Amino acid sequence: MLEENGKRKGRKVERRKEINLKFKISRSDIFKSLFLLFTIYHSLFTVPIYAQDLKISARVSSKRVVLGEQLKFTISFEGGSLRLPHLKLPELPGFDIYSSGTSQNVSIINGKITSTFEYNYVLVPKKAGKLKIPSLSINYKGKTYTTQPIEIEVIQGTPQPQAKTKQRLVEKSFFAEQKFNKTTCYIGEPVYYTFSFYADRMLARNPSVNLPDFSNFITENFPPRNYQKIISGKRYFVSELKIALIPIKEGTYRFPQASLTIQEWSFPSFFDEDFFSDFFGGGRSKTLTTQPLVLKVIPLPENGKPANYKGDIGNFKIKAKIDKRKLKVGEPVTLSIKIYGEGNISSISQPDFPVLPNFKQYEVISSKKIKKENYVLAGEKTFQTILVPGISGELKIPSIKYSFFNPQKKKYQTLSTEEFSIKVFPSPKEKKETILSLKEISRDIRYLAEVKKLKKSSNSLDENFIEFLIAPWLLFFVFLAFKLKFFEKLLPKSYITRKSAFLKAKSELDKKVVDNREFFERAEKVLKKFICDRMGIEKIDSIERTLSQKIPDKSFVEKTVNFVKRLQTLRFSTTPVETDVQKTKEELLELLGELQRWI
Amino acid sequence: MDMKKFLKILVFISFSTFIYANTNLFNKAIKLYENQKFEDALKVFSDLSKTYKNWQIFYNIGNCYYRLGDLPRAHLYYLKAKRLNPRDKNINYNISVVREMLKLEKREQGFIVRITEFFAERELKIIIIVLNFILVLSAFIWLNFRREFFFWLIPFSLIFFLFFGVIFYTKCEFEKPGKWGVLLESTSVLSGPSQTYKIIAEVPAGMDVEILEKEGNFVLINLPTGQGWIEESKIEKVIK
Repeated sequence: MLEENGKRKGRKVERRKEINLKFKISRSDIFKSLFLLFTIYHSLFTVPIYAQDLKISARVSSKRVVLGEQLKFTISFEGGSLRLPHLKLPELPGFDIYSSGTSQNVSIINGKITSTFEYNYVLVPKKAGKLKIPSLSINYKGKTYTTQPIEIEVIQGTPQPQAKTKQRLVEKSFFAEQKFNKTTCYIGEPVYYTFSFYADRMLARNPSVNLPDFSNFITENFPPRNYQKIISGKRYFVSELKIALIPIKEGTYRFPQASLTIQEWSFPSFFDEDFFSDFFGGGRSKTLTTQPLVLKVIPLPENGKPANYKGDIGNFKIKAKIDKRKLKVGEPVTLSIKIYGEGNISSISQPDFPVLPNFKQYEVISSKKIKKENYVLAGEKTFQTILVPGISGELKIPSIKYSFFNPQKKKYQTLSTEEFSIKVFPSPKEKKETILSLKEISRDIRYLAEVKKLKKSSNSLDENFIEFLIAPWLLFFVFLAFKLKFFEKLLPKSYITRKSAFLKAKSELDKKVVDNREFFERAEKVLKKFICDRMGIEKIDSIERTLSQKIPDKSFVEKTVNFVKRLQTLRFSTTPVETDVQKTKEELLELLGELQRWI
Repeated sequence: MDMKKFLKILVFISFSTFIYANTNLFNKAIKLYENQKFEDALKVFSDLSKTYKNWQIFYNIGNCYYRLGDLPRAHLYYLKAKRLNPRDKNINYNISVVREMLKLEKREQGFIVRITEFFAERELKIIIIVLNFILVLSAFIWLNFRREFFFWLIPFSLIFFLFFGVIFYTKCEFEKPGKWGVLLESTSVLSGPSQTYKIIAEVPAGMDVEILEKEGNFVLINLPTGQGWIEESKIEKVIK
């Protein structure tokens, strides 16, 4: 029965709707549990599981506790870039469970991102003995990771002498009250609601409480608190519930009275042992009510609001740091801005990071850590970005300003971080380019093109493309034909000799001579060779006889013979002159031309 | 002889004056464009395009059509300019702008098509002529002087000659007059060369298509999804 109550209460704390307050006072344990409300945390017992990119661990603040004492239970996940599935807490039948918030931490070291998530719970053991926190299972990226179970030893405490006091039911043995820590607050400012139940004796059954509706507020629950208090000389055991309320809208909010139903013993309780309590189980039901409450939510003053104010309320401090001050071009440096203090940590907005033209800037990553210690909303939020310098030299990271409204001082405050100076050395791969973020807004066609000279459609290349291709090949094949003596193979030699006789004779005559007499000798030979080539004979015995066979014109034969005789005369003359040579050459060529027609 | 010289000079001067006058016309059209008189500028550029084939004229006509809001025709004229100067950044940028505004899909192109689009026809002709000359010269030198270098130059130049020959042939086949056109308005593609056939696709305005054949008033076009018939009046050819 007690275990079922414990489960139900745990779920209701999670839903933040209706809270069942466990308040059990047993004669033997009651004082011990009251004196040991605040625990000194001892060494941590960690049970890690390593995965490829996920590390999961469960730990408790102490493995040995006194009954009634609280212990802190933390489940943490560590990995590269975590996006966690919903965590389902295992069944913990021997404990009352209270959520005490989550924390998230993202660290960037040398450009590598490591995220850590922590789920924090407060566990209150319900009985003495060895209790077990079973292994926790979580499904991540298709794999199931489990932690090792943890065993807790719960020992009985020393009974307190006050517990032995016999008391009778009197007026004001039980009463409840609710209150705010202030009656007027600003929008976004946390207000602490406290519900307290006072009792001077044990109850037959756990009481149940109905709190007002806080649906117009963001709520953060704190773990319940038990202590004792002396009022008018009478010792009361106080159970307290505390909730932080964050108003969203202005206005006057009226909260109805909270009620608490208790089961008190219907007879004077003079038995010390639980046996009798159980034997006479049951009792009278009684409902306790509190006074209603009023809370006035007022807007933030417009007067003195800084330009960079983004709606943060609390009492914060700011600190900036960089992980290195000397680096090379292209190496990353991490800039972290930590805002910490009291207030609504979740709603802390990102301060305006400066635009640094000499750096390549990456996206800003935020992580937060909410603490509910001392029953006050506090914590820290960290904003980190990676900067990569694009040029070498002494570069500055200017200070960053952050504004918030301080409700205690009732005014806006602006804080600044320190200015950093980093030394950037050139890198061998340094690119001489200015890192500027270019953003294309829209596209339009480019401007007109200009022309220097207008061209007609056709040109020699387009018109004579094929000729350009064929011409080299034609030349090549002609060359090849000569090279391979193709024409000689194709035509008879006698024909070629006959046809080329005149050209040969002419080229022979054109050759230079040293002596003029030599020319006349050569001229005679040329004439004879010409006649041989044209007539296809090897040798000439007599020019007259040879020509007479072919040429019927006797005068022409005679003219040729006379020309030969003149050549012989000039050859042997004493002074043949240049003019004779030229004249003879012309005459001979003329004669050869005429001969060609005859033979 | 003197008379001949005089006539030559006279022809040269008159021709130069004619060219100069038309360059003035070109500049006048640019002025009209600058003064937002796009229709007048278009008319002048269009007149010049009948005689001259500078890519700048087609490019400027494309710009005029763009400013007048006729994006399909702007696309057509940019394609005409690109054919003459395929690697010009301004032409390619304007084509991308027009295609984006016409919401035309990016074409997937094979290696051969990309090579054919990379070179202008005239450039390919010069490359082929030069390679042909190197081939002949290498053969000549090797036969005469037996230099080993020229022996190896023969197969190399032959391979390149054949490669560019194939590219040139492909380009000529694709860019044959009347084989490449741009749709002036969005139109229905039919399964046969008549309005009685079934509509099988819708083609957006401005899309450039390959024309396979003609029958009556219809042309068969090649589409990524297959082939179909459209009315010839809906299409304007890049090369007429």
